[in-house]
Amino acid sequence: MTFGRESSLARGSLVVAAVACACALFGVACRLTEPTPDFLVRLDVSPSPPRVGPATVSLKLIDFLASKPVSGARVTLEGNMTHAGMTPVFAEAKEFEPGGYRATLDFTMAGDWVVLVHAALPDGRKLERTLDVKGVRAD
Amino acid sequence: MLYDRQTNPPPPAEDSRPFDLLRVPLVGNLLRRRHARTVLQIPLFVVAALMILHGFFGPQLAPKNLATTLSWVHFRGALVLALLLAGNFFCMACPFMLPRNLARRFVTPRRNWPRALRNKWLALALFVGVLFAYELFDLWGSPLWTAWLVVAYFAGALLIDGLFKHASFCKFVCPLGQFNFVASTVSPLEVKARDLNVCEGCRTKDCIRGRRERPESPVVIQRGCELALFQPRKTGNLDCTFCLDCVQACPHDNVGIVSRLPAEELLTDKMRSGVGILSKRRDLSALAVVFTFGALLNAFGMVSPVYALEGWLARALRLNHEAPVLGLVFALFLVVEPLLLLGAAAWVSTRWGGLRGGVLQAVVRYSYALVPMGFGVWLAHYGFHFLTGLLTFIPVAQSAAAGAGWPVLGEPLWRLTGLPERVVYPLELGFLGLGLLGSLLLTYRLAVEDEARRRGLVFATWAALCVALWVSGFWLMSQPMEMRGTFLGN
Amino acid sequence: MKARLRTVVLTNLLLLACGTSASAHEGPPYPILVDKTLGPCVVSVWSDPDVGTGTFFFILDPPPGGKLPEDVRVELGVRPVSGRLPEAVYAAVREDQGGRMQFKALVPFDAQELWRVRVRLQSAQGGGEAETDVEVTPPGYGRWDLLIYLLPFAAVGALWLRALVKRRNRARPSTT
Repeated sequence: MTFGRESSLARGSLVVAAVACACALFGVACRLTEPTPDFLVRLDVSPSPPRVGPATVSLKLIDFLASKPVSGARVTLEGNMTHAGMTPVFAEAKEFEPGGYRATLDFTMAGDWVVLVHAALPDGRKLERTLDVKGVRAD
Repeated sequence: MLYDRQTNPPPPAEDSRPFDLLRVPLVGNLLRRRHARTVLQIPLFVVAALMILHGFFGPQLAPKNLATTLSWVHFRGALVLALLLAGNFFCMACPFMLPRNLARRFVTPRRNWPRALRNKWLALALFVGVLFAYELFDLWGSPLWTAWLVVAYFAGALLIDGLFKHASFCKFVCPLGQFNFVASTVSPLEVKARDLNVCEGCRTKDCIRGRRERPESPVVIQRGCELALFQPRKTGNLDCTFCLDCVQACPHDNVGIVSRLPAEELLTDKMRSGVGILSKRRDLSALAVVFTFGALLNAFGMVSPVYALEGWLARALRLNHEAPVLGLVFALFLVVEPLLLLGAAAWVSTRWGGLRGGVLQAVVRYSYALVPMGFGVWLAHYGFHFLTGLLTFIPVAQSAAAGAGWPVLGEPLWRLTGLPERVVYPLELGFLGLGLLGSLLLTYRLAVEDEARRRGLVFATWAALCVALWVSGFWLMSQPMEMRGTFLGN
Repeated sequence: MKARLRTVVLTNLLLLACGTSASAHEGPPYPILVDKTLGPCVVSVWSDPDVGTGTFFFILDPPPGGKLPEDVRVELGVRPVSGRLPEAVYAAVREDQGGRMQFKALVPFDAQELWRVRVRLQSAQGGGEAETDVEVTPPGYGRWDLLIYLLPFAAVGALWLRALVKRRNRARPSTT
């Protein structure tokens, strides 16, 4: 009888422990939020809608607080599919107007892409943004 | 006691003795060791823990996260290839069982699994649930949700087996386990008694009861099969997790991992220990059907026409949420389509082919013959991801290590991927072709062994169904794959 | 039986090994020239060189601080490296994209081999030329490729079929 009660107690503790672990993980996961943006990054892809093959990716980098374009940044682009296991594509963007950068990115497969923008700003700060390019077409 | 020689034929002559993995030097020695399973589970447990951590705290971009990369590219692909080339070794090394086994050192479950649930219906519902969640929440693209799924598996195994005796989670709940059980019917290896004459002379039945300190002692020092598979009457791989408890328990060293003819067990309709008679198991038949049609549905979710279909359904029904539209697609492909196709084939077989028994009986009996075709589609689909993304775990692991402030693996080599699609596509076709051949072979043998009046017609009817499934699979694999997220969001 | 199995496995591996080396290019266009300065332009060329019709994209950028002339013309000359055909020259058509100057040329290729590609750019502000080689490959698989790839599967299937039929025929008398 004592054994049975201990066993129930242990089972109860096990359930409580499992639920506590789950809550803790959920709590931690919920705290993972995006930082407040200081910069605005606007992305345009041409052709539109995007097709498999080389695409011109233009982006505008704007200092959100100073309301002015950010010139002289070193901007690299990295395209990834939303599914794991696909080859990422990379390109270095060139500034073609103040705060305007452009690169050719090779969309190698149809579907949804995510473009990671890595920018090293003239003042030494680093900026990273994730932008969606949805529905790249196969034709 | 005389064991059934029909389902478990007597040992073959010495010169044609089947291959036995446990007799292979080194590998056999390792697997025969008492803690062999734990040794295999620990690395996978560590990997699973890393996946959970990275899923929760790592970058939330699927190709850069260990949770999504290892789950949806490597684990699935390695799983189906291991099932094809060997057997249910992933259940053997299942990391979810490690904390469960640890917990059982402190907690002894007293309850039996409810009688009403001693079948595959719950597991089948969960299997469909996982497939549904995969599409609805774009699990392939969400490290966080993938990590939650892994946590749910750990918690489920711990909770179910903490409350209920034996391996209730594996046998009646685990959706992944059911997938492995069905797929392993096509595997070339099986855990099996080597010599039934030895079993006939056995008095202790340790393989099922477990080995005890003394025969009358209640203390079990080595457990027997927790899935109720009694070796002398066990047939095939259904419900076998390759845990090797029977190997450890057998006092006569009479259980091996032996070679057999893939898929032949699906023709056997005798009483099986722990499983029963296949033609009387509607739940198992439904599982085989969902396994087969689910393979097509899962691959369909990755190609462009699915978005057109979902979009059309959403517009026609004026729906703005994905769940009901996806629910309709699932009902269409996993319920309506199988009912119509299998029902029609069974009706023709019984009505005009002279197959004995009713339509439902024919559906249940012949549904198992579809398993190789379904497995071929799973292989083609998961094999594609696995082979084209074979090396992607390397840069992701490098990146994860660097992200954790421990850049010992060096700069991520993002250019590392896998085989080109051009090479993988013929392999996909090969898997599909082998699947079709297996299903055709089984339907032919079933038609012959059922002694239908017009067995040619019975075979042709079911063969037409198999060919239709193959055509669907071929069409799917020939579509340009589109890795899409929520269609309504586009 | 063992010897046959070994043969099947070896053939399988051999064919797979051959398969990996057979592919030169597949899928979407890829860059064959990157950021080459030709006269007043920085040119990148992307190519999808299929037997039949090959596609070439020319993406033009101004040099740092410069400006692209509006009267740019792009021509493409192609000839087999083997020298079996003389060079054929094609004009590229302008199709600007997203504010960027881009040209496209469609070029007929009659055979799978290495071709020399000459890009020629002209404008009032000057011009330039650049050369590179590309391997022209069939779009998709060759006539026998798929068959060869699928042979190992066919061999495994034949063994499976034979074994199953043989075993079930042997088991049959005892079932009835």
